[in-house]
Amino acid sequence: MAVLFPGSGALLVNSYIKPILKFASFIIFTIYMTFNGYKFLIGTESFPGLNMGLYHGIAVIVVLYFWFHSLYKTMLNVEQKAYKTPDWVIKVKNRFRDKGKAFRDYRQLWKHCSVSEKFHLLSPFWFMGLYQILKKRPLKGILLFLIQAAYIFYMAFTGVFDIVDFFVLNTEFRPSTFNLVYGFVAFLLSGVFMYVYVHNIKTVTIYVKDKLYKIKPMIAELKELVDHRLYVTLLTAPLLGVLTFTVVPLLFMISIAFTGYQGASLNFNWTGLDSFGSLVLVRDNLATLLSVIRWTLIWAFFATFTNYFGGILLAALINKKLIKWKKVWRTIFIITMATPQFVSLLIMYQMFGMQGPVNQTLLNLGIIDTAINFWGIQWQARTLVIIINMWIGIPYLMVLTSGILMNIPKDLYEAATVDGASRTQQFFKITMPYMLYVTAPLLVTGFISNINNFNVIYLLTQGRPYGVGLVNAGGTDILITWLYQLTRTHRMYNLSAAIGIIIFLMSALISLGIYRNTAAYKREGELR
Amino acid sequence: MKRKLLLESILSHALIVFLCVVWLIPIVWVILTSLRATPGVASPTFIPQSFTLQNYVTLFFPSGAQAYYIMFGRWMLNTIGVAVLNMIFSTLFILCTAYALSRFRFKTRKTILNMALILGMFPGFMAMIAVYLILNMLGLINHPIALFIVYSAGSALGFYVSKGYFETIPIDLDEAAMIDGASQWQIFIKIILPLTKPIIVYTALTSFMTPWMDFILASMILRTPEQKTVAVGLYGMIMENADLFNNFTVFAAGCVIVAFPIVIMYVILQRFIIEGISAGAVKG
Repeated sequence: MAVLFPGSGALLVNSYIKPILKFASFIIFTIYMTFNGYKFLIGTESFPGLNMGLYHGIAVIVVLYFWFHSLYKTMLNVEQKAYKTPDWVIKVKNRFRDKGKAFRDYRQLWKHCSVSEKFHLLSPFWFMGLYQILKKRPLKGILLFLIQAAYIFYMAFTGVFDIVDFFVLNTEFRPSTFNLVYGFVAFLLSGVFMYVYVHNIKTVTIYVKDKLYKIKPMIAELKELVDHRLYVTLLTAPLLGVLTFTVVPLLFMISIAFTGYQGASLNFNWTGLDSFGSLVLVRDNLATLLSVIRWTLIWAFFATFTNYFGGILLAALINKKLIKWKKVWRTIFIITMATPQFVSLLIMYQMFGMQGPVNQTLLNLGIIDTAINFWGIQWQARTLVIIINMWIGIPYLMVLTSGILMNIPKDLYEAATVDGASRTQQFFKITMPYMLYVTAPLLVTGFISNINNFNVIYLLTQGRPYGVGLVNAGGTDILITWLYQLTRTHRMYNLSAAIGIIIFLMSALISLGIYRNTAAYKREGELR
Repeated sequence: MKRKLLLESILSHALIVFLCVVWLIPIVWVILTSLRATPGVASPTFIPQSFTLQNYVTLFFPSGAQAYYIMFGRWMLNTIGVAVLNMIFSTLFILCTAYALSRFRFKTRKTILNMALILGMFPGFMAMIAVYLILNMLGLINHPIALFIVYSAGSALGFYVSKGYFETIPIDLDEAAMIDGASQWQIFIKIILPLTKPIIVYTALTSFMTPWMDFILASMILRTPEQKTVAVGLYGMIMENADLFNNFTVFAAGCVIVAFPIVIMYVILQRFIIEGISAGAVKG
């Protein structure tokens, strides 16, 4: 039954709104697609400037997903005879209930208070700070009023225009890039102001409702900032920094993915999903994208695991009981760790060059007759990149893991020795499981950071070898270096922003899937 | 049994010496190249036939056409300036953020933690074009100060290691101090900070290192030779001017000079680095 009637499963177990909504939207979508929508999908009808086919394709996939999901849920429920509402639905419901309760309380308060109190209650809506001034806290009141005045002033003179220009985007008098940045600034300032505004209304309401509360003087509030509200003081400057130089730029780039920003012109329009479309729907681009994604994943996998296990093995070797001068060995590896990456990577590239010492030595020893072009052939270059990355990464992992290795309880090994386990067995049966247990999150974060490992690839090969049949990408380009090439060399800003979003989605899927389920994440905050 | 142990010992030591040699070869090669008299990458033998200090002299006192784009002394000063400023501000920001997020429980805390997680998943320099635009609006393009601003503004996101470390310090200490009438500020400054010296040193060291290591952002912002940092300058010496043949030995000399103080610092501060890195490991 659920095949034809999505949501019926939920209906059977006394839930009404959701199944009806589900069924209605499914029916509406089906009717639309059969009468009109399919034309866009197969391309007999098109819409100027918008890639309607793509949107419809996505919509069909989404609907099919929900349909199957509903089917699956129903089957599950039929089996278990119980329908459980998901957590997030309950959360959202609770939030709405709380909001509703707040409004009802407010209405109750409004009904039962005197005229002057009504005036007080209304004052924060049109004159922030009036209440504070009337209650003999002029400094606070004036400050609040100044905030309101400044915001109104800002909105009247530039803010409103900034927001309008953000949506129009392609304006004559200034570049579209500026419109985007100013637009985000306007949104952010409005957000901050709205927060202060609503907060002020809430506080005034509390004061009116409960006569026992007195407004705290300014001095007392400032004192709180170094006491139990110290976190506000500590976080303000760092978060402002992150906001201006990380969050706003990221929002900017995300929105660039939905524009036509290409080439030298700073004026462009919103184009919706077209840049994703040209990545996925153009055959050569799609081939390049898939090939680069494949290599990115291979690279991240090998880079992470070679370094991880190499680091553990090296640490285990150095920490062996019979090894002398442990400190000397460790220091040597720390020296290699300390050499700046751009130095060691540029040097490595030259070492394996046609005239570099590796070829030269091999020639001198008579092992080869002509110099090997290490960077010229794709698979050689790729292997070399992974090997050189081991040189870079293993010392770091060695340092990281040797602390944990030394923390493994000694009696585990003693017991194993008594039981007659060999050293190799001990390594695989005790050391590795323990290490994996403790440092599992590290593998995930390592994998993610290797997906984004720009330095190793770019400083080593810059994506070389070129001309391997990929669009604007070289044989060792991973997603992030391809993004860089598209930006710097080819100025396809919208495409590279789209790739950036793809990278984000990849990392997010991988890490949220694994990371959120690890113990370290769940324990967070329970330590005290 | 004894002979078996001896054999194992010899084999293990041989293996470790071999690994050390493998890891040191590139470094030795750079040092040798920086002392080589003949220019260029190619050299018929691994150990050069004749040695000279001329490359180091050229680095600081270039002559002829090289004088227009090799300004190593200036690059060093720029980098040290950015590094010191960045060290002060980044350490401050990171410690403040980490402390606030580890010790206080407030409404937006979880949101901030999740946001940091999400921001960390975006490729680092995806936003760089926008950063460039913003700096352009502020008139800071081609100025090393811009680097310091961007580094320390974004530094707060690197709070994980310090936060993990703060969490290992028992909360009882705070409570005892609170009973004695200390404010949160006093607890932070007088009690917790002195206990976290290793992580402060580690944080300061890593943020001091940032401008020495970073290449991408710096190369985007710094254009003219006299404004560059060492990373950008050295890279340009062999890549942009396409003068690989003449400059490579000089470049190697530059690499040695850059790497030398860093290596010394790492060796001296080894204890803190190991502690810092492993503190970050367990928390992930």
